[in-house]
Amino acid sequence: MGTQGTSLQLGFDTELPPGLQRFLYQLRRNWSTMVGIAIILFFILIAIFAPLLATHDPVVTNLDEQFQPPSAKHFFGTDEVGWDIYSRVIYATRVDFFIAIASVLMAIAIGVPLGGLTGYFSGRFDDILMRILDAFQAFPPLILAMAVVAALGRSIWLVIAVIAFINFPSYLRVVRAEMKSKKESFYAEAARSVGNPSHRLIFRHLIPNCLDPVLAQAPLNAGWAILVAASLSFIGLGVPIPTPEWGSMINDGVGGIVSGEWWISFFPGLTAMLAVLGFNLLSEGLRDIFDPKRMEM
Amino acid sequence: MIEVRNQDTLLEVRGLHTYFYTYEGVVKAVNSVSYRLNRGEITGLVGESGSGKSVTAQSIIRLVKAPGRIVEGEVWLDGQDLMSCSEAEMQTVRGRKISMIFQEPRAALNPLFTVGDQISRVIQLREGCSRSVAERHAVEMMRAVEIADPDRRASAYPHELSGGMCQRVMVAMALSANPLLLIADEPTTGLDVTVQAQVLDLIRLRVKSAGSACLFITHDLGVVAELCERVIVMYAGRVVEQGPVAEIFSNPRHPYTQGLIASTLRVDIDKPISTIPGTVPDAVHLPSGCTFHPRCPFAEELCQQEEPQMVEAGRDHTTRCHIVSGRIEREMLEEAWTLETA
Amino acid sequence: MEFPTQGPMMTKANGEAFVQIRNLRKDFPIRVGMFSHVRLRAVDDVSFDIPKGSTLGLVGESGCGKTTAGRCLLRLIEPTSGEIRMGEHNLTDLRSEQVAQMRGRMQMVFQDPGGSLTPRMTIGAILREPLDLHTNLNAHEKDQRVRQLLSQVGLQEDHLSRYPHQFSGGQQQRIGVARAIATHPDFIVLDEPTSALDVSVRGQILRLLTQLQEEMGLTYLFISHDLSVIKHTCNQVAVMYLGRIVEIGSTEEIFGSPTHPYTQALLSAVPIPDPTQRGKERLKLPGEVPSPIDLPPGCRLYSRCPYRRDACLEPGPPLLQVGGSHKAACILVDENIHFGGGNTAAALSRLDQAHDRV
Repeated sequence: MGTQGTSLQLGFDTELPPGLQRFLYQLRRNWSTMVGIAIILFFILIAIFAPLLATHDPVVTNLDEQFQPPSAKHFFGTDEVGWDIYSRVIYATRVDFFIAIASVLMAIAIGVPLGGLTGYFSGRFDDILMRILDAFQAFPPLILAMAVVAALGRSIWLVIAVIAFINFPSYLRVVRAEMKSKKESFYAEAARSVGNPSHRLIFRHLIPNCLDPVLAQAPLNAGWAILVAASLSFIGLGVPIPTPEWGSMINDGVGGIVSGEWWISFFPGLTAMLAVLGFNLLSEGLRDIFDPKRMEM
Repeated sequence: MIEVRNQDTLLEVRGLHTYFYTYEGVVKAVNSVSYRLNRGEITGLVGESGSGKSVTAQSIIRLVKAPGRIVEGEVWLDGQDLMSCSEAEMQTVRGRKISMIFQEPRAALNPLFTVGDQISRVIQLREGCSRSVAERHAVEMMRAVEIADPDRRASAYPHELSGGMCQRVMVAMALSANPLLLIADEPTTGLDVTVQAQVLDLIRLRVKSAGSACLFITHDLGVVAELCERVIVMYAGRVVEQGPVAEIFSNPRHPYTQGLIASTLRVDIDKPISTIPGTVPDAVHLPSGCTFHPRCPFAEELCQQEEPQMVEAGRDHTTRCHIVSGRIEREMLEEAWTLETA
Repeated sequence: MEFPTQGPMMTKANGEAFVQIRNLRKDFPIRVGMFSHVRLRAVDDVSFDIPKGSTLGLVGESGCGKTTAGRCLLRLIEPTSGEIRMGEHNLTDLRSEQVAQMRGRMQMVFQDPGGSLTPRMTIGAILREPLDLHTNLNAHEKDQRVRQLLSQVGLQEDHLSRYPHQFSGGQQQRIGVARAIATHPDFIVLDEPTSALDVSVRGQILRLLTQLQEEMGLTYLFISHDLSVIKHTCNQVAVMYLGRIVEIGSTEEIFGSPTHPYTQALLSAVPIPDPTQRGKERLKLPGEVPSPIDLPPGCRLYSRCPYRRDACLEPGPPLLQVGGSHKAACILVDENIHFGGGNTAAALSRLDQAHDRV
């Protein structure tokens, strides 16, 4: 049988898989994504090297140095118990990024398989589940989070679980929508005709092909998770003191805004904003890249 | 090239290059393409996927999609240089002088308007007549393309009509502008053969009666043989052979044309299944010399090194092959295509 | 269900029917209102036999039910009624788990070669899958089998780690074929396997399929709308129109003396790649295929047939014997109009005379 000249139709035989190469190429063409990635990487480096970057112990109070404005000794000033804002902002990166990433992973772990299953089987199971989700999502998420935390007590794991719980329906919905179209595809039929049982069909053939919108949405939810965590802490229901966390730090400094100690809230607020911005830019870029309607290059 | 300007010539394309600047590299989708279309003639543009046949058509009406760009070349329509027209002038050209029919009729029709509306809008635009006159005219056009019960069908939306019916509406729309040139890009590819036969009859009839020219893009040699007077064969962005249809089919000179004819199965003759070995080359990394040489059973060293020029192969028949030009002495045997190729 | 005991009628002299289809029917409910459905009969009373190692072509235009019939045969969709036998198995009696186990023995090659390969799986994973599902081979044996498959379909080993989109259409279809033959099946449904391919590559795939059939003794059902492909690949042909088989016979019979007006129209509408044949006589069918919903009981071609008469509106017509294994569902067969073999043109002129008389 005629062998086909393989060198003919593939122009890109280099080390990286071509899919990844193309991905990187598209990433490079999109400056806002690059900025987003830079910001996220910056924060991740801060989180990793926090002990090296911090100038003070974030949880040791120093009543001699209350309400110091930013200076060479305290870059971002100190608060009412003499905590060094700079060091606490650095360490809070660890906490907040951990919350963001862990909650997103947990939401994906629940939402993706459930969305895949309900999208594949449709029918009554799907109807019931979706109506439950509708009802659930009609409830203001922050109030839901408050209720849960107020009932079960404050802990970082609870915050993560609550945020994951609020976010998983969005993953479920995108995967379900993708699944509904992908299950009618020729390759799904081909996989069925080979003799794949449903579970193999769903988890090996279909779900991996439903993940593009999930990847685009994940950073957006990570940024949102930081905001929710901060909001919870701000109203005193988040990460317990003295663990440094941007939201609770903003809360600590609220009184200071009126009396002139602006730095106590300002620096954690700015940092949180920058982190959320980074995630949003990244998400925007990924959305462009994974958009099926984007122009073929 | 032979520089004869026939007064029947309606469209002349000279040295057209359209390149796509992609991530993988530059795709020379149309590479130094020249041809002429005569009034009252249907010219078949034949090629496989990636041969550049559709991009050639898009280049004529200057609607090449990004990242593609017309790099150089001239396109003369009825004495007008389309490459130097302003965008506004081009819009007039596209509306009144050139009409297009596409492969996906339903995608080309607006789903929000009735087909009668869409045809009458074209007529209104061209004639400047009143709406009611245009509507009557639209129904007449639909009758002309053999749509049964045109009065009722005129108020149907595209989704209410079958693919064949939509294609007739497209033909009616394209022809109601009374164009000098009709470009049909695989207009019957998605249609059933019985419906295809109807649409082809229609295009032939309308083009002949209007005295316009038609560029009919297809991959189906059967359709070309039934419909066209002239054939242009494209391979990997280049015209490899062109000439009158009878000549091309009875005496194909380029090995690719020969292979294409040999591998076209026929319902009327029994013959072994022939095939061209290999695949269409990657558009970014075209083979050196003659782009067909890796698949050509007659290729020799020269074919790898040097690109052949267009040479005369008969009356009004040109091709691009070293064997035809006499640079290589070799016989081209038809059996070459039926041999198993490893 | 009692299986008809009379001998297979459409088999080659030496071959025994391996795949036997009897009275296959598939209805789809179409929702027309909030609570009401109408019935779309996609496949209506279809019966045929395919002898071991031979190919039956199922030909017809879009919407004729050929694809649905092919999928029913493999029980990829459930037939409404009828009987499907493959070898000693009665597929209609099997429960769905049993059908899943049978999938290693009956396979399918799809129309859209790129679309039928899972995008996020490597070629190696795609080809290993049927082995995982249907064989007890160990990892090394599977590996060997996958490599052997690649060379059988003319691909190279370094293709294993690539993804489907990195291949040309022809190569993708070779992968589709490799997957179908991985578990040494007996029966393969080829659903328009070459219609998405370029002319120059089509021949390669057809040759590959023929070669594999000879090597492995495969039985094919070849579904296509392209009569020229059918002519060059099939031993028998069944022509479908609106869910019914209107004509069936050996390839020589169908192409040499098409008898049903629809077959004649279909054949005469195929463009011949030879300009000297231009302007040949054609049987043209006016109009288009009517909606398949709630069809009248009579001949399905009635609304478009140039030779129709009132008797055509009676329920039926059944497949009437034309000669040998050749049968056509047209009452004109009984009136001897099509008899005497001959070519299409002759048949056409006889039909024209008949038409003049009518």
